[in-house]
Amino acid sequence: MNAPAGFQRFVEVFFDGAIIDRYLPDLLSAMVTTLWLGAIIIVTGVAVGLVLACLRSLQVWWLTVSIVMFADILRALPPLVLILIFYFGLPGLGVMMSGPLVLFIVLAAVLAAFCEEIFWAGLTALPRGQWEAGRATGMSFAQTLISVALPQAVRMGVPSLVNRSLAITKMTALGSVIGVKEVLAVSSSAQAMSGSATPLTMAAAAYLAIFLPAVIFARWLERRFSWKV
Amino acid sequence: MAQTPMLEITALEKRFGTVEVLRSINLKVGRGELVFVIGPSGSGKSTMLRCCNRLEEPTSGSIFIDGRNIVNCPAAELNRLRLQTGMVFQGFHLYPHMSVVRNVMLAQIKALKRNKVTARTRAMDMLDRVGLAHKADAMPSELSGGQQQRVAIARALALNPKVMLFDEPTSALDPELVGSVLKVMKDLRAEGMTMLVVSHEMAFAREAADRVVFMDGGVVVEQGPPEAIFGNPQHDRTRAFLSRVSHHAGAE
Amino acid sequence: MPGIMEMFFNLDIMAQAWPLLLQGLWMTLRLCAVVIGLGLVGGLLLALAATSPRRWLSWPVMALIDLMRALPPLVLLIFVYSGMPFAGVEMSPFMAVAVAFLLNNSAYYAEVYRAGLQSVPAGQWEAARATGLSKGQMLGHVVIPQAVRNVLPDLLSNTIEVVKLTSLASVVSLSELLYQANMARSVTYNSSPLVMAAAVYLVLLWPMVRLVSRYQRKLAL
Repeated sequence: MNAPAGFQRFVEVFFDGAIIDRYLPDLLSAMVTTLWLGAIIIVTGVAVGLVLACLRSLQVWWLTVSIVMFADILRALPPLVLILIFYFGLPGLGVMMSGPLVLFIVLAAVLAAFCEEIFWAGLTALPRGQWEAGRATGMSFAQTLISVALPQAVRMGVPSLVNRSLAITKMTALGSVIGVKEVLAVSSSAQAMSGSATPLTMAAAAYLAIFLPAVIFARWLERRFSWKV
Repeated sequence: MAQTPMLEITALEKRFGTVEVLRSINLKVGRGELVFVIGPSGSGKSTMLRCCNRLEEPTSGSIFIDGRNIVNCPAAELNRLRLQTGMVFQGFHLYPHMSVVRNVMLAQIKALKRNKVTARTRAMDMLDRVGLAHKADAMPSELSGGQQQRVAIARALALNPKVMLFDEPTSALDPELVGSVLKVMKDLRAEGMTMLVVSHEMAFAREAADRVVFMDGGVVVEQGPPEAIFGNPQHDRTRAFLSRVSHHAGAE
Repeated sequence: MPGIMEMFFNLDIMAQAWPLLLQGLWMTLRLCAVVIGLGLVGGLLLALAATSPRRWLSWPVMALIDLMRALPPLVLLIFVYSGMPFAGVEMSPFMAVAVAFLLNNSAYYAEVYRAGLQSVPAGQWEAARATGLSKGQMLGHVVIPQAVRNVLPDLLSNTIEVVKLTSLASVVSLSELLYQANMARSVTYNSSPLVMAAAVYLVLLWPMVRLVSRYQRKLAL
């Protein structure tokens, strides 16, 4: 086989025009699913993480212990393990959840665990004088937390938050294991049906279209936020 | 002094675990008086100052501000009581994420519930008073240390405190920036503000203080007018400290 | 309806499944050794290339790193495992998993190293050069040791992610820990093997997670 023929074969296998035409609509609707899942996971995860970090700052021992346990366990377990337990295990207890719901719950919880740690690290890194300045000017604990401490903690955590949100949103691909019709699931079944590798190329392209701008945005943010307080 | 003093500390004790930091401190600051606290580091002077707005919890004793004991006041009222004392820290502690004028407005809005317009007007007045109205929209990181400290003073003044507490306000400043902060303090005194100052600026104490208090080892060793303390100290510890300080100052 | 204990913490089933899980654990550890070991080295090389002043070298490497950061690891894995045979490249599941994760993780390690290299002050480079060290000596004795120390928590945190990542290999039927546990689940119709696998991951990773938290707080203070 000479080189041009090899190249042509490569193009046919990975960039087959007919296959692209046939599966593009399915793939586009799968991209919408991936985007939509990713968006609600990020919003929920970051919000829950923020609330948990605030609760932890109250320094009530049983709250602290529960939050640390939650954050540690969810950071130590592979998300796929939790997904399988939720999806295959809970029906045994009569709790039925759809694939997308399981995916959302598990990934939002994992993101919340990481966000809690990021916000908490920011809060503890804050010089004590910032708290004292707030309290000395007659502001309550909650007012100082919200107006003085949190904005600074969030700013310190922005690069890690963006990176972590990205990493976890990418895990929506795990939905393919439990029948969520997201990008990877749709293209895998297209690959199986068509017997062509082209749907996989399309999947890779779809993910790049979604996440490459996000990665570049993260890089830009990292540079912007690298100033010292 | 016929009136009740603005600030009165009686039998104040403070222990960290088993370590006694303050022992039976008694101190009065009259209305419009500027009282200077000097003493070696570790003498407990900053701790005493921080007890006056309960950033430090006293172990026992009383602290009256304008006749009201703040030591046994319930936590719910503490935030309101803290408005009566303005605190200026060694490290300024401006909020780095807010502009200068927002720094001065924040507690007015949150703690005093002033509306934004009133708070901004008041903030601009206070910034003008410390000579920094033109920096209102700058971020703290764009200011020199001396300017930051003057903003911190404005932030405290904006809340109409009855007493100003200064915790080594010039110790973190480059020598050439100290003067601008001391000038603001001198202006405040001229306007009749009651002030309790912990500081090493002996020349300023000699010139501006109504009374000087010497602390060592957690107790008030002696107090009196600056001429008496600097000119004719009664205790060996005072004499030793002053000679060490003046020697040090001479060596510079 | 069966209770939580019977469905999730069934000791009989756990005992039956344990030998299977142990085999899986062995596979997981082998996979980790390969991906972490080669990833740590590959990442460093990529980072050195990415921070090189020579643009013909640094730009393609940066592009590769960003590409890998943008692709979900599972997609990369499926691509290598199911797609590459179409191009005539056949790999055993272990090879496919190792290649895919190595690509993915070298990029992540490279990002960590890059931050570390950039955290070494310029004065250190100058001091090394001024004392007559060669470029290799400068990197090996002065710059890399400091860079690594500065980002040790992030390296550790990424290593935790690698161990968690290996669970994805179950999707392509590599008989690692999660695959074995899921097999045991489907045979016994009971989730206890999955819970036990979770427990094994916890035992492996929880101390490392604690360490990272401790470390990050210490650095922050």
